[in-house]
Amino acid sequence: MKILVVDDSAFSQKITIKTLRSIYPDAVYETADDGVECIEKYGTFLPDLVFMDLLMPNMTGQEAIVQLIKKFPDAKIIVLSADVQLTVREEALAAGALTFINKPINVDKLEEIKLLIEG
Amino acid sequence: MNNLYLTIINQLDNGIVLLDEQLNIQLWNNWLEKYTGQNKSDVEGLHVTQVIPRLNRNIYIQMFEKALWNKQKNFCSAAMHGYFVDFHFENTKKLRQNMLIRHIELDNEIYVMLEIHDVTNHYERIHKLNKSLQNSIGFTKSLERYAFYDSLTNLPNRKFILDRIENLTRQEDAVFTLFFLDLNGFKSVNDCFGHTQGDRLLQLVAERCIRLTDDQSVFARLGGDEFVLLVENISSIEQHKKQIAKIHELLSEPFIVENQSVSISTSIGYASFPQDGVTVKQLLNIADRQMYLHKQKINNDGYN
Amino acid sequence: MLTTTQEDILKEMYNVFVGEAANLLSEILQKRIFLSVPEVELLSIRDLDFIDKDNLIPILNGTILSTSLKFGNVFSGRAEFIFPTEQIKYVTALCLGEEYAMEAEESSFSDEDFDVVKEIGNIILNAIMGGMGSLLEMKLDYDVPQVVLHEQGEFSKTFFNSQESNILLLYVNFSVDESEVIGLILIKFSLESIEFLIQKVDEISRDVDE
Repeated sequence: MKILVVDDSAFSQKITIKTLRSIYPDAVYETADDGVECIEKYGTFLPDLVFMDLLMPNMTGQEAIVQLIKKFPDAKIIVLSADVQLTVREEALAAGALTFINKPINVDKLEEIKLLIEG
Repeated sequence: MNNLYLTIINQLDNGIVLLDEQLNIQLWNNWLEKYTGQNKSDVEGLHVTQVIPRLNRNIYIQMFEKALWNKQKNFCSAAMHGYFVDFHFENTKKLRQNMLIRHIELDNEIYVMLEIHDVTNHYERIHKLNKSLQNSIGFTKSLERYAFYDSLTNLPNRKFILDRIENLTRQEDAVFTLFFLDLNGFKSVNDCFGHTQGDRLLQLVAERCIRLTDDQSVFARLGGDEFVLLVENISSIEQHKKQIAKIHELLSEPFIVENQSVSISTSIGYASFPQDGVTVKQLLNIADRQMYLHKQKINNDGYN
Repeated sequence: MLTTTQEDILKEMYNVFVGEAANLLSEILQKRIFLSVPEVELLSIRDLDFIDKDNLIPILNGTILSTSLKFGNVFSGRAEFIFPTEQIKYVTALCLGEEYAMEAEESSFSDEDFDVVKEIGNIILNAIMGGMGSLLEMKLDYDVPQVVLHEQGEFSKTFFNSQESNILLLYVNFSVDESEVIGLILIKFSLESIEFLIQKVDEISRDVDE
């Protein structure tokens, strides 16, 4: 399993990966600092899952989702954001994100994601 | 609860509601009885959202929970929330209420206290006051404009400039020069083109000459085709000559009035304070006389 | 004064706090609120000279409304939410659903304006103080903030002239509709408190790196 974590904060990348490891200990992790880097890395890394922050410099998460889905319609994107407004959530889902988690991330929230993905 | 405290709460001029951990109403004061028409005995023990339906929103429930468990206090303004409890009388006004939400702890029991302030009349009064204040400020300003400005050109008028000069002559160290301008041949413009066109020309002249002014100078219309330029802190002949040249230059370009090109020049006379005179009257007389001499010279020589 | 890691951690945490406040605000106003990445900076008042103080936060030199609260006993300081006055009339109009008309000469502020600032300040400071409390694992005691109008430059004078020696500057930029509304959060700490906060941040940093 390959997971790409997109976040402009190095701390947030670390804590996301650390929390993810407790659910997916054997996964291979890769990080991107913004939307642009995410698009670049997606094509070569070909992850099974993307965890995407929204508020980032250069290219926001919202824009990155739209572009990713256009190129890779099967991309599984999970939004991980501190902006928990309803309209923001709806926007991200409409753009093609699978689901939305409010920051801060924790194991309980990830368990739910795992259930959702594995059905 | 102690009767004295209860009496005090019932005397208050705002609504007090006490909720327990389940958000059921434990206390409902007299003010609320009168305001809502709902009696204590009818509401006590009921869930707050049953009695105050407007509070049945996630944001309020969250605030109550946070007040209970995190001791968080919250203020909800009428501006952002409108109102919370209904008024039971026939009412045409838009209700406005502020609400304060706080944590209360007593004998190991925790509560949320809601304090509701009716600001309907207060806000309305302030709105009205502001409006009438603004109207009267506006009216005073338009009067002021009327009294001190010329309605045709929007330039300061005769009264404005005379007051200004008067004030300056009272200052000990004031130095200034008054330029008196009279358009040459303005009468013939009026005769040839008509008064409306003549008025338009005066407006255009005013628009151009306003460029001469800065915080040291004022350009005003005395009346008819007479204007005054007041410039502070100049006294030498060179400075005066320079100023006059500037005015001539500004007016040298023809004006376009109703698609017709009109050239107009001006005669200028000036008087300086304090050397040429010390009263408004003296200064204006001297400047006027000089202007007149200048005009005669043009009429005799045929140029300016 | 902060390492990149410390700054990154603080920023990320404030992001979460501010996000929560924005969510509450958007529910009350029924409007989408656009947030920017907050900027975090730790400053020592003693090291600032006069020029720095004037230029540090240009907003503070204008007329502003501030809502402020004093918090804590052991971990103590003062948090301020700053709102440039030009923005207030706009926000009040927005709240009341009225058309905003720019006035050439700004009239004085009404109780409504003050109440709006008080509520917004309350929401934001609640989210931040609540978040700080859970970060530090302690309950920070504080009251509903009070609103004060400061004439030009008045605020900086009193703010920088105080016992607390460190300021945590937090810029939050949030906009509603087309107009940009900038709010600024400043938190002053006592020296012990700032050390405690940084210690906590370092602990978190170590936990993540383990």
